[in-house]
Amino acid sequence: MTVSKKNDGKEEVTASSETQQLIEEKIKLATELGIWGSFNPVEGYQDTQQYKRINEIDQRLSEIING
Amino acid sequence: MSMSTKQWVVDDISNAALFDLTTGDPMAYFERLNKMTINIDAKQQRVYGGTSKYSFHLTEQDAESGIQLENAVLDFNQLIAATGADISTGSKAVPKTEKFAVLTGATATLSKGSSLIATSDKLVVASKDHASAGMQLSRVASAPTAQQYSITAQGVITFGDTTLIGKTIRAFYDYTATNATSAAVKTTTKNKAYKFVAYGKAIDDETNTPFDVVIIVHKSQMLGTFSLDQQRKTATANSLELAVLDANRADDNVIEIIAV
Repeated sequence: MTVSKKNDGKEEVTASSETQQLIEEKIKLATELGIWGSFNPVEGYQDTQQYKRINEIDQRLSEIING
Repeated sequence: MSMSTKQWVVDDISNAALFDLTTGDPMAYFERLNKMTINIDAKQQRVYGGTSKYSFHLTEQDAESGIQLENAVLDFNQLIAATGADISTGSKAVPKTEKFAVLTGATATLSKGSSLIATSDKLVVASKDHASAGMQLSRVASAPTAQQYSITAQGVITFGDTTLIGKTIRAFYDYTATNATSAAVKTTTKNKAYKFVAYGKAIDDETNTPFDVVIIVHKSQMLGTFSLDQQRKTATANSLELAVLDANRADDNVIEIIAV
């Protein structure tokens, strides 16, 4: 993770590191649900908290990457 | 009064043109006609009376003359002349669909990817032997899961499901064509009247003499439906029906057939 110090001394996580962090989290969640790399989902995967979190991550990645 | 000796056979079909009534400018030219029929209407109503079973008079009815054209090609001028459609040239969003195989690395490139209109793409798994057959994949910005894909501005797709490699995908998307011509029929579109001229070549069988036969309809306007026909294993045939109108001429001429 890239962490830099702003002028006011607070730490700021850069967009690229946030992207990387989100992607890693998404891969972990998708793997748990059986929807990473190939489609072998666990039963009821769409109703899980992990799946909701994946949708949130997709939304955030879209904001970061597409602006 | 002598009888005309003009008799002829037209072995082939005439070419035809439409002219602007005011300026006389040519507006459309038909050079690939399949069929042209000009109907000269002279409807009459039988009048009966008394004990006779036979009518003793014919009362003239309004004439509904017309021209039916069937054209083997479609050109914009013909469409515009017939319907009054607006024509424009320039940049245009064009819908496209295509089917392609997913390449090694779970990637593929849209054929019009370089001019892809962002976020217009929709992908569906076409291979019936895949677990996701028929499923629409979701577009994401990055790190696609098995039912997602990401796509660059150049139309390069990365699929999240590596088992899709070698399988087929159906894509629907829009691309920008920089120099397209389009004709738009709008709610306000209104067709106009034109002068119609058919240019025929005839031959007199007895004298074996070829000569021109020209048919002029001084005022005509599209009536009914302009059909854009497509049928598999059959060439395009577009049909157009024109109504013959009163041109308000000093000589009262409506239709003239000139044999030279």
